[in-house]
Amino acid sequence: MTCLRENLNGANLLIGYLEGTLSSAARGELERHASTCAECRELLAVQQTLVDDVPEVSADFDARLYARIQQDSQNQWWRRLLWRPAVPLAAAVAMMAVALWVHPPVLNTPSVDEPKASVDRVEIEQLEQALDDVELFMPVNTPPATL
Amino acid sequence: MPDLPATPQLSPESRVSTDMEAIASLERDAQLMLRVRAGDETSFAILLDRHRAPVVHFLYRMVQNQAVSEELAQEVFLRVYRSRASYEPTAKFTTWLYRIATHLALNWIRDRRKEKNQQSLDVAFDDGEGSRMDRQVADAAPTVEQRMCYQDRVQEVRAAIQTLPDKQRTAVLLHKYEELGYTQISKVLDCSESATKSLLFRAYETLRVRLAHMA
Repeated sequence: MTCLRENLNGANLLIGYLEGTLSSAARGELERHASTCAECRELLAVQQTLVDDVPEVSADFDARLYARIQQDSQNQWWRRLLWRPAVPLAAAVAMMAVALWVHPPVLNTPSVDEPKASVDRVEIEQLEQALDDVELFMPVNTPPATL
Repeated sequence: MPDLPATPQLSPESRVSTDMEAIASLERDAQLMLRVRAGDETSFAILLDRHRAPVVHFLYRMVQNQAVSEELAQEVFLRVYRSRASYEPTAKFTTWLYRIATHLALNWIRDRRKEKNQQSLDVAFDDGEGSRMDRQVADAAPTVEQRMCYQDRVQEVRAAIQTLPDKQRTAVLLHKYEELGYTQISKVLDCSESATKSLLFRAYETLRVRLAHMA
């Protein structure tokens, strides 16, 4: 077996060894190699050199966290209210309703239920009226052509 | 038109029991988180109790500052609580938890690095000798006698880990101290499993060289 550093499968072997997932045969072969190779022996034992000491978590950690959560929940409630899309939409609709109530639009559209015949009759009457108007502007002293 | 098989109609009772069976098959943390989603505050307290120390310690190892590590850990749990309504147990709870923690820690380290760079630029343009002296850092190289002490060994290990690139450092801390497998670490770091193995191998090899005298 070659050294872990020169072995294409070195990363798999090391991680498998450290996580205890290597087969017993592969583990045995690796340990036999490490017994004669200082570098590989150190690499297999590297986790044991990583001693560490960490401080205790502060006693008031939870109290501080719950205070933050409470504060955050209040902020979230306001944020949700302000940013929810329905709120500005509803506000816009309400403003439009108020504007329409204060200044209702004047619509000048024909009545829908008026019969079509009466429309036609009105058009004919208007035409007759227009012709009468034209006659009014004709010169009064013009003799008839037949005379 | 052929008769289609009728969709089985579950009674409310059987639906609840099916949900309960699905929840029971999940890992314990995911079960607790689903209860938090349903409004159970006690389950959040249990989750906090289970993960408070590991998360604070992981962050302490990342940032090397107790006050900052606790501040960041609070942000982690705050984000967990804030996301409770949309939580889906698609991955292990700890993968999600350490993903948040790693993200916050790396952001903090990046910001800190920028600040330090800015400070060093300020020093370079500072003519006052006194301010230069104030910023001098004590020599961290331990003596032979000091190496015999456990605390000095700890300091040396920390210093060696701190010199690793960010991703390698995160991977080693999660692997060695939080006992996450490479599969889970690959999900935390959002990279492939083979890349994670390679990352861990390079990190352990660097540490072996730096800490060989301690073995």
